[in-house]
Amino acid sequence: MSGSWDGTHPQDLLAAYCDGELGVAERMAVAAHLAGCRACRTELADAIEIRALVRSLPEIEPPPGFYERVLVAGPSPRGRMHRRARAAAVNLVAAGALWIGVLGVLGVRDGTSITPDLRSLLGQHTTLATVGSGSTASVPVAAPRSLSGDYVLVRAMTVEGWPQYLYEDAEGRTLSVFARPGRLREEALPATKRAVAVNGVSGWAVTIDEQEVVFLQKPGSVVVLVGDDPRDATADAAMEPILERRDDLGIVDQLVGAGRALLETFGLAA
Amino acid sequence: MSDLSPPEGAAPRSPSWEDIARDHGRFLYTIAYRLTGNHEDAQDLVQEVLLRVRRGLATYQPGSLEGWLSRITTNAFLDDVRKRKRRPFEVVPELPDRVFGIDDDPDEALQRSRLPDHVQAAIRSLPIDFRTAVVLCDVVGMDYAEIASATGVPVGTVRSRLHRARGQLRQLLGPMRTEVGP
Repeated sequence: MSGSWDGTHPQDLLAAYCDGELGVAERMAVAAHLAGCRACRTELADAIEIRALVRSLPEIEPPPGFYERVLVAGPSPRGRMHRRARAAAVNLVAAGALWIGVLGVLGVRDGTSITPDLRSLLGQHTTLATVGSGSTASVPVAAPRSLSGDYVLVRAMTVEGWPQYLYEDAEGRTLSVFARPGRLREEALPATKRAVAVNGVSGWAVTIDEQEVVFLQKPGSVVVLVGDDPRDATADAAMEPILERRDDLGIVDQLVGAGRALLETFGLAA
Repeated sequence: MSDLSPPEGAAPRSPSWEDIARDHGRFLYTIAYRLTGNHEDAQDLVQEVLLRVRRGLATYQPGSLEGWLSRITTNAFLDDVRKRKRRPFEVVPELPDRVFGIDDDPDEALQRSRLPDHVQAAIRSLPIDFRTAVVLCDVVGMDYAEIASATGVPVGTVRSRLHRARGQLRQLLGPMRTEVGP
């Protein structure tokens, strides 16, 4: 195992040393080196502390009822596909809910009126999804590593000083999340916009070039999500929170209610 | 790790998937969660493991039941990774799910970085091979020969992966505080 030395330091023998996985001769050789090498002692001490951190992680409780359901129905190979199909329909809205939380922490407040340029948003989404590369240098907020719907963060960059994050799922669907301080000029959106609501925050969904664009208005800031999910499924999902909470109303009334909530957010309600 | 010891003189009993779900469910779920890093994938992975056991695709060998389960789980996890061919992570602006202000107290930030969620997030950001080695070594408690057998690589590769994995975790979690003398 002498090949694990780089000529000067024992390199990956240190992991085996701290795990008690070396034979006597190797262990003695590493110990002799450690006695005279502060850098390797530091590396070993760090490795031991890292190992202790990982070993101290608690056991994870399965979600309540998970095994009970499996024991009744049997293990299902379709769990992932079923959940993905459902998740794909709700991911824009679910992602919006997460990002509302992130911006809440950020605490951005700005009176800037935002007139969205749909084509630019789509172009920016496509650019990052295909050829763009990320930079951490000036990305102002931390991003959730993953989003409901099996989306994983794959790229990050700034656009005009504000973040754009790109998520991708296993099927190659992409989702961009933009965040800007300010207030949305909803009258600048196309007449085909649809009212949506996420965790009590209202917004609009627009379909353009078979892409869904969802605008969510947080007090003081706007979150924009752009994705290529099936538009009908996304549209259905976008209505879901309203349907769940307002099942005593007809769909038309629910949409009117969502629009009114958005106007109230802007302080424009009569 | 616990054994599924047969009565003296009897052949080792192969556990049913129901046995595993009832008696070892939390252990199995923990491994699945540490490997996948999220509950949805962990539930899928657990179900895949139980399916493999039910179909008899994994033959129980006398010895550590948890080691056996860990091997099945690892194989199922790696099979799934190969199928999905997910692109590697390109940018990690911060540790996920937290926003640290620029005025954060360094000691507080250090303490936060040691919270289980952050350690788990750091593990999840490791390359698959490194993550698997760390989980099998430090969560399951396998020795290097067992990890080599479970992942199909030489022991020397296990050493290297663990060394590099811990180095990456150290970078992700920030400086350690250990004093090592002159």
